[in-house]
Amino acid sequence: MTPASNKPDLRRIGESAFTEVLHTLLSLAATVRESANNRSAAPDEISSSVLLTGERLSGSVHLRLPPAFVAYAVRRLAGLEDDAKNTVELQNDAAGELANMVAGRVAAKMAVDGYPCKLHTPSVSRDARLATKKQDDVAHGRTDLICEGHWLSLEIQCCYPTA
Amino acid sequence: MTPIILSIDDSKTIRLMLARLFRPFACELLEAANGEEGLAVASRENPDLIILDYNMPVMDGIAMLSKMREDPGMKRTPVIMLTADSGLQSLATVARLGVRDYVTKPFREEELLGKVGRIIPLIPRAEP
Repeated sequence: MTPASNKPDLRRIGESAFTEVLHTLLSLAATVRESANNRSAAPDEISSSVLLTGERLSGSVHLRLPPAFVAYAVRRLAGLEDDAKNTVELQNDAAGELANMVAGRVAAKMAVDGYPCKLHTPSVSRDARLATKKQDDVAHGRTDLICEGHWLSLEIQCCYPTA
Repeated sequence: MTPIILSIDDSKTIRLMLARLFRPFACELLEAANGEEGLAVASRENPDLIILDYNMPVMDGIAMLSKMREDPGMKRTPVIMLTADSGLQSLATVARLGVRDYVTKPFREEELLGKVGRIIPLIPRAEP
């Protein structure tokens, strides 16, 4: 088994990946919020997830995003002036794409730490709660950010199978 | 002649983003949502450049590229690959299939414009 000290620091990786995506894609700065583990999900939050699989790990990247933030991102990215075109379908697509990009950055950083993995297609849901159940064999890394007044959350979960 | 760009991505957000990005330039932008649709559009419209997503349902970017390279009519069409997965294995795969360049998502808009501009002329549209 890989010594715990050699395993990737999921919190550091998540924070770095998430802030990089927000900055590069949307030119937005974000502030890391501490001690937000008990934050409850708003009923209309969008959850988007991407599975990661590799020889030395299996895991997932979960984002929780307020619809107002995703609508803002869609306006910025697509240049939509007309709110009627900023549909739930388009917002779900954008939330999935954001998760895909964050997962891509996470995967690149995991590879540098010796844990290469591939990305799977994003899945998106509304009214879903982030899985926070802790298990002994699953490592967690949680990042909460404030960006443009919105509270955004990322959780990475990884399992490192023994050889 | 106005250059034709074919954007192939399963994300509508990315397709709309590219439409906004290239709107100021004298080019025609076509769209497809997966590799299968992309192949059909590419063989019909003969684009000057394809901007191709890596991970897509139905037919992914690698499968589409492989089929393009077997087709004499499309084997030399320039392709820029868009991928969220910057792993070395992915990059090695696309390099073997002869992509002209690749861009890792998320990307800065100037980066993509710069890479496209090295393949086709990006001339600002004349004011109406």
